[in-house]
Amino acid sequence: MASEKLCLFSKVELEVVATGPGSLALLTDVPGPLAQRFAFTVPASALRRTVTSRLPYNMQGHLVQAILTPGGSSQITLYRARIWARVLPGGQWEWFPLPVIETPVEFSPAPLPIPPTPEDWKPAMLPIPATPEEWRAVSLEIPPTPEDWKPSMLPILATPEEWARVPLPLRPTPDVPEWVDMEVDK
Amino acid sequence: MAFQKVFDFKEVTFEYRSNGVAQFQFNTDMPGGAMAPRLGGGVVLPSSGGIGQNKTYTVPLDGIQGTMYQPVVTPGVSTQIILLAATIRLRPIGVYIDGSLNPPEEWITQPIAPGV
Repeated sequence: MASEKLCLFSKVELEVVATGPGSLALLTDVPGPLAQRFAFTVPASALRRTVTSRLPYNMQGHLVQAILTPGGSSQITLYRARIWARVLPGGQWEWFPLPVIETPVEFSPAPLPIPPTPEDWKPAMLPIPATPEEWRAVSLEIPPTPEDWKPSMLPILATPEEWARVPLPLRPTPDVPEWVDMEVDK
Repeated sequence: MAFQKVFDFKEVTFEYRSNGVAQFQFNTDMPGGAMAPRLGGGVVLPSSGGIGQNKTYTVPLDGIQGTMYQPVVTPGVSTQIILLAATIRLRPIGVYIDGSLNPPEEWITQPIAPGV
């Protein structure tokens, strides 16, 4: 390899929560192409814990690659991973962090989608029709006078075509004379 | 790694007015991949003392995870509740690897050159 420095690896450390055992494999490119040089079991842990493993004494490489695989149907939460290494020939031992997306320590607030209820009261118009300021002309209900004349029958009794028999006011003459009282002066 | 972020839940805080008790339930999709209640029989939100009185109440959600969540508030019989606001505290988990998926997930780094 061109510009990469040769490193000697000694330890690897993970910070995990695992519902079941998993495995971590480490690959390096010395000797030969990139290949697995070491693997170990990451034990199950319900709590967040640090798992450390020593590496083979002669594990070297310009490049290192890590593969973490959960076993069976378990889940692993990985918080941190680093490897203890030194640059050859004369470097100091130090931790080199492996790229793990950070899980924040603090919980951040997220508002739930509740429509806000305003603090202030808002006026709302009740359904009362408004009384206008100005007076308005309203037509009274007077029946219209027609322009044309209309014939109207006068109350004259009709003259019948036929003659009617009318008895005259004559007293009948009795067959037998009747006595009649006469008034005499007293 | 998961396409959807997995979240750790810490607590949820409600501000409300109520004239009786209400029930709070918190559904998430983990574990199991299906939305399900994660607070057992639920948590009781006590009365605020009347519709005209505000109350703030916090429900712990420690140990609950999920890619989705659904809070559910159910008023008790003859209870009216006005939810004014609610805030949930959560954090995204950086690397969550699920071996139960098909194919199983795994965490793989790029080849790294330490010291460069």
